[in-house]
Amino acid sequence: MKNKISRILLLTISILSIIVFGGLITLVVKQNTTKKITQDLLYFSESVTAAINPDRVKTITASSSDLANPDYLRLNQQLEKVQDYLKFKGIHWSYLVFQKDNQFLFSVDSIPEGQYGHAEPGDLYQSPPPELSKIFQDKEPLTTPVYQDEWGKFISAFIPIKDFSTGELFAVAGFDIDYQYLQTQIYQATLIPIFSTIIVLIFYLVIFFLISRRLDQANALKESEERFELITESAFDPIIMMDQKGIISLWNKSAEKVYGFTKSEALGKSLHHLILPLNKYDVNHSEKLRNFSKTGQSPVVGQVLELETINKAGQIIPVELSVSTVKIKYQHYAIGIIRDISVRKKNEEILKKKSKEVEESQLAVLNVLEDVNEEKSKTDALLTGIGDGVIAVDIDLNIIYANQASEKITGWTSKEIIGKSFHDVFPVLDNKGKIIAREKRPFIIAIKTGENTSTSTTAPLYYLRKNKTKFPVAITVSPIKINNKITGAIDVFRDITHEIEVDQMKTEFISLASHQLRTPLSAMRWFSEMLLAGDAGKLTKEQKEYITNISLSNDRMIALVNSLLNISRIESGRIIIDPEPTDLGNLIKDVLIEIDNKIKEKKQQVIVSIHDKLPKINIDPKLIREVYKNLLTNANKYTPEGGEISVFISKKDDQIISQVSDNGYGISKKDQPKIFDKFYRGSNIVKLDTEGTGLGLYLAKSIVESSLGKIWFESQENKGTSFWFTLPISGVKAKKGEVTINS
Amino acid sequence: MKKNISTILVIEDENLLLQAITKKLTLCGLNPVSATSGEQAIDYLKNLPELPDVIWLDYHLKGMDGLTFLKEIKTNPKWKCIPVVVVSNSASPDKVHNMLALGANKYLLKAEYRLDQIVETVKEFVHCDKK
Repeated sequence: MKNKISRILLLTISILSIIVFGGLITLVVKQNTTKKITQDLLYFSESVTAAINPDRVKTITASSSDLANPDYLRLNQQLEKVQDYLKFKGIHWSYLVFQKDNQFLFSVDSIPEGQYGHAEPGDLYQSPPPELSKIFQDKEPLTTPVYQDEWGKFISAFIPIKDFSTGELFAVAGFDIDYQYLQTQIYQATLIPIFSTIIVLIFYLVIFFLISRRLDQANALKESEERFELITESAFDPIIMMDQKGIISLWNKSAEKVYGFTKSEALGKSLHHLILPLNKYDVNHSEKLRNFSKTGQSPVVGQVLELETINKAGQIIPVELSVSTVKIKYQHYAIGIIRDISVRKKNEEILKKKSKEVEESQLAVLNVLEDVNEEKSKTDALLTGIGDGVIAVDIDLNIIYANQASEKITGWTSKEIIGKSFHDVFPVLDNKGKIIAREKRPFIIAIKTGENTSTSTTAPLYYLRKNKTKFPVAITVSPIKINNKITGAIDVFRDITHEIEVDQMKTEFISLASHQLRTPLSAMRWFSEMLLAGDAGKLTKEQKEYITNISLSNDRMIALVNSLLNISRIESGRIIIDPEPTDLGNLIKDVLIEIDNKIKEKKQQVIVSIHDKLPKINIDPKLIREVYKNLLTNANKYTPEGGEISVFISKKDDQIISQVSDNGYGISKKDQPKIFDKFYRGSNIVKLDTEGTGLGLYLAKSIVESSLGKIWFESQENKGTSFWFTLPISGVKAKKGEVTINS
Repeated sequence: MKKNISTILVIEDENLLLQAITKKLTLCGLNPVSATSGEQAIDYLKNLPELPDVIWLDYHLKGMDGLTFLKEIKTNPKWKCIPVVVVSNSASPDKVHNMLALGANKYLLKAEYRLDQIVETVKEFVHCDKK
């Protein structure tokens, strides 16, 4: 690094020096050229001016009258001639300048009339260089630096024209060189030094890079040699190199340590004689060596050999030898890396002795393992065969097991998910696809509470499959407890898409059936109604009687369909429970008003007794009304004329108990166990009344139980029956669903 | 009073029920106009010289159902004032809720009522409107 920086520094300085040196030379050349041209200008100007006769100049007035002066004409001719000669020196302008009243006026000009720059006698020199004033004062020839006047940029020589004898100054002869000419001359002159500098620079750079490359290679070589030495010297194993004659050319520290020969003792000796036991590996040795020196190959190259060597003290050292070859400057070398295996050999001996013991204990262990494996494969088979997904996690919710069914359901193979955090792989979503709060996830609940946690199928949670689609799941999570400590949990889950679909179909069936079954019933109801009303003409007594029968049967059919629909609604679990604070007394009064006609028909007496401080309770009045209606309708139907029906509502602990009693036909002992069954009707009343459906008590029981209550009865045949049912004072919880009763 | 017989537009796709309804309405002194589908009823509304006093609407219809029909009626400024009595075979809470929310005046379950009871209800809305 340091080397590199200093090299860059050297390069920069050298380049800069060359450029500066070249620049200086160029500058000198430039100055010399300017000087030379100026000198030439002065020299030629003086020579030419010498030829001008001052007496003629004397006659010039620097006005238009000069044009008639023969001296003027002569001088003009002379200057024009001279001009041809001066052209070669770049002097394109020559003229005479006179001074009058502190002004400079032209007369006599080498430029012919009509060409650019021509001045007529008497023309004013508008912007003369300052040197012009100087010469009129000093009267000595001079040259100007570059200046600008109305005709352009020039350098000029001004030569005074004086009277020979008096020295009086008549005029000044001016000779101009175009600045452009000067410039061109300078360029031409400086081209050589500039090019030379560039060539020197290129040459220098090439030499520099060649040399630095050489240096780099030399450094790299040195470095690699140092590294090689460092490696060989610090190597734990002896490293030895021999040339193609079998002479040792490398002997590292480990070799010194193992064999006891120092480097100086070993180098230059025959390897074969130094460390191999006498006569042991002598067969064909010299022939092998010859072959190696010729081809650089040997059968031992690339192999690991085990052989015996001897050290300085003559002790046998068993070693492992691996040999490789290298060609350095047309010479083959063999490099051997030696590993002292005497300790290993010893260990192998000990191992052999112990192996028998090990074999015996192994056999014992194998026997135990077999038992364990058998147990494990039983569990595995069980978990594999199970249709539900099973995923187990540890206490940190990392997946530790996933069975085959889970792979099928989720698309994730157990290999892909084991070790990952469960909720990273399976975010738990609600039906809108939103991830639910951590504390609501079954795994978290199970591990926190230590109890089994299940989700409901009516408001299911969702898992994501590998392909990012979600599916509804029924989940049961059980914590894994070992020694009363929770170490993880097992999630048994199944895809309930199909179950939900079936439920949906059930609901749709209810809706469809209610429509399809009721339509013809409505038609029958309405037409018989119209017949009875005489809308189609007056009926005879007999006709009226028949139509009434049809109408009554139709009403029963409607009631039956309604009951069936209600049962279906409750069974499907999709019924809405919509609790509101309800006064049970009012509910009963409503029902009694509804069936009042029938009670009056049978001249029955109704007694209602309600606990005087009965609180309103939070129940679904539509449902509970159905219970009272069923019980009271039964009491009315199955109690003979003039009978007694009583209703008591009382409070006991946290329950409200409703009792509906009659002194009617009662239920026989034989029928009692089956009285709440669907479609079951008491044997005694079937004979008396043909109208019942056998669904009323079943429906009442379903409703009471879904409202967290209990229903029971006591009855004696021909004495009467009492039904009781309870409702919790705390009321029932609201439940979402799709259907209500009687809709 | 320009007309003394009130017109009831009855929409019912069950032919038998429709017969019963129109017969009963006529006997009760009303003028029934029967349509077996929602589309037909809309056609009538567009072409009848005078709008009906009450619409008797079944929920389950072939083609356009009662809900869609009601939406059409209630979004048309000319028709939205006509009282609508829904007479259906099913009265699940969401259906009842939706229809009443849309502006139906009454929702009756067919099998629960005698025809003359329903006609009485319809008549109530006729008088209502005439006031």
